Amino acid sequence: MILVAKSLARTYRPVVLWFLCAVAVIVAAVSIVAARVSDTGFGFWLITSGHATKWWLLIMGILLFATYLKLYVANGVTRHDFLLGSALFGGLTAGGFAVLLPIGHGIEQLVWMIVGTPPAGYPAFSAAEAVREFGHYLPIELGFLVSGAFIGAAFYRFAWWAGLLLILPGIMPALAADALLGGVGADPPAARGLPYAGALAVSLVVTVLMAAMIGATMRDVTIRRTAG
Amino acid sequence: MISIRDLTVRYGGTIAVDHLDLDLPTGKIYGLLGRNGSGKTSLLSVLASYRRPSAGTIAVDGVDPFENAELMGRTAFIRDTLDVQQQDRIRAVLDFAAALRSTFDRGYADKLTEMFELNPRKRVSALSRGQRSALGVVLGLAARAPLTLLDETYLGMDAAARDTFYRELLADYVAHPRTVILSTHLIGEVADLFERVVIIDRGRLVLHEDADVLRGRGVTVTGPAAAVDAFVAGRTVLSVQSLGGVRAATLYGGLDDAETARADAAGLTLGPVGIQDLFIHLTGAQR
Amino acid sequence: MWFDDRSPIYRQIAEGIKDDVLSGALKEDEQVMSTNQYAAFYQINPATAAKGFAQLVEEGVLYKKRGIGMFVSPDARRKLRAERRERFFTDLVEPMLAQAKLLGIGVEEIVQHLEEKR
Repeated sequence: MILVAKSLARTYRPVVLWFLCAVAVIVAAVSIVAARVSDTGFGFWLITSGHATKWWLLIMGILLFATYLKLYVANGVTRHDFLLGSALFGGLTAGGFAVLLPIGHGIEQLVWMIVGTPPAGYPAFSAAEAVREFGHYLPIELGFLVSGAFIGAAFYRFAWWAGLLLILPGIMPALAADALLGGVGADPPAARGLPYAGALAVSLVVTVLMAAMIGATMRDVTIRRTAG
Repeated sequence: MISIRDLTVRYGGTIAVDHLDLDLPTGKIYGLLGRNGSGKTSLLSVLASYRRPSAGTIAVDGVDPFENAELMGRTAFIRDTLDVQQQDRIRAVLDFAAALRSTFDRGYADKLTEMFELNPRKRVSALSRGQRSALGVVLGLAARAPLTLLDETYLGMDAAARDTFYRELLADYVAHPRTVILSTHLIGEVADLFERVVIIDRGRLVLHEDADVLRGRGVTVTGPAAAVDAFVAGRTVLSVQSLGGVRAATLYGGLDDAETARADAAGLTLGPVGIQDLFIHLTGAQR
Repeated sequence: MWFDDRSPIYRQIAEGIKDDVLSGALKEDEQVMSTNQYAAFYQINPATAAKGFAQLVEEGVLYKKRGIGMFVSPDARRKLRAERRERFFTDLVEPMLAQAKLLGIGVEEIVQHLEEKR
């Protein structure tokens, strides 16, 4: 299991670094432009990287089964070890992103303060805010990862049309997390039906449930011949 | 010992492997012969734990290999649709394998890559068919897996590359003994490497025999039609050909000295039958 | 491929080595290639090569020196000659005579031909 996680990490380390650099550059560039144009009411870094990281994880989740499962089994790894190892890798990456987002926010604010003053409505950064952001982004990242993995697994395991049908339940973890916990970093977070604790619980339950379903279905999946 | 009991593999309505019973002592080079669609690949898939049997059991020294980390780690299955990432460079493919397989010999892999004239910087998607086959061979041999399954791996390679493959397979097998199962429908030149031959047809076991014993199993009897008919009466005849008054019959089962003398006396000519021809006759007769 | 795939290779191996002993290419008490070397040289399965060698050991043509290898027996040549001599008449001469009869060639004609070769 550790071997799988390390192997995935080795594969994706350069990718993740490039990705984050790209996001940082884009955010910096756009911020400079936007600042001239208007008073932005949101944290640009959070919005951009918040979206970017969660979609990245969704795609990563799909790839785990579309591409990687067969590679690992072909090299002597059990499906069990692959599932656990990729869960470990995915979980750590999601956690890593959830930590980087508030840090980036802090840096962004620092840059604004050095340059002049942050625009009106810019979400203030503080230690408490950082923790809040982490607590909101982590379940979202995890939700998108699991949604991607579910969809990828569905298409690998079943016929293409069944895969399509399973997209609907598949997006639940991502949708639930986004709906219940998303919007952090936006100017006044929209009123949601649930307080944080409840929202977190629901999101995690959905995510974990779907993850368990992936495990149950894929633990003895046939490694088909995929063309090329 | 690999024990296969009543193994059945079904794809929807098709039966690929049909209640197969087979015992394979480890440490030998096996030739798994069968026509296209005979169930060879399905059998190997189950051996490699790539799929679960529909029915029946399989055990390696008494243990079910499916999802067994130790046994799966000691098995390498190379099939024609190489299980590698297309965009990866050959070097990356080898790095990946070396990181995951404890038995993988990276140095040997590099040596083989050079022998097969593969450029390690080339991407898999840019390889020709022969080069892809060569890469499969590199992965299969360098894995040094105690159970190595090569599914028609060397088809697509040119004659020189095939020769290199046979040479290396034999040399590495002697240096690092392991169980090798080579599946193919083109026996010809590779037959000398087999210690044992397993023939499968339409999912069923036709034969499991020592290769050299098999080489003595067939005999062609040629001569005047009447004499041939008289001689082959009561024997297993695989095929008969007639031209004018001359008949040639292929028999399955050897002849002892007395029978050979009888054949001579009757004016019949006896000739040997190669494994390839035996295979064709044993799997084609019913069609 | 050096060997004819159509008959048991171990027998071909045994015959091949016997030929070498008879012709003098392999001398008595000379060491022969190990079965693995033999297998690699002729590109055949080592177990098959071992079977051929085992047969020769059984027939007394080769003997094994533990830890060192296989050697040609000291009286191998004499033994093989005697064995082949026996077979010479049954395997070659008798069939020749049968063929001659078929073609209407008389024994005197054969003897005359042989006299010329003396």
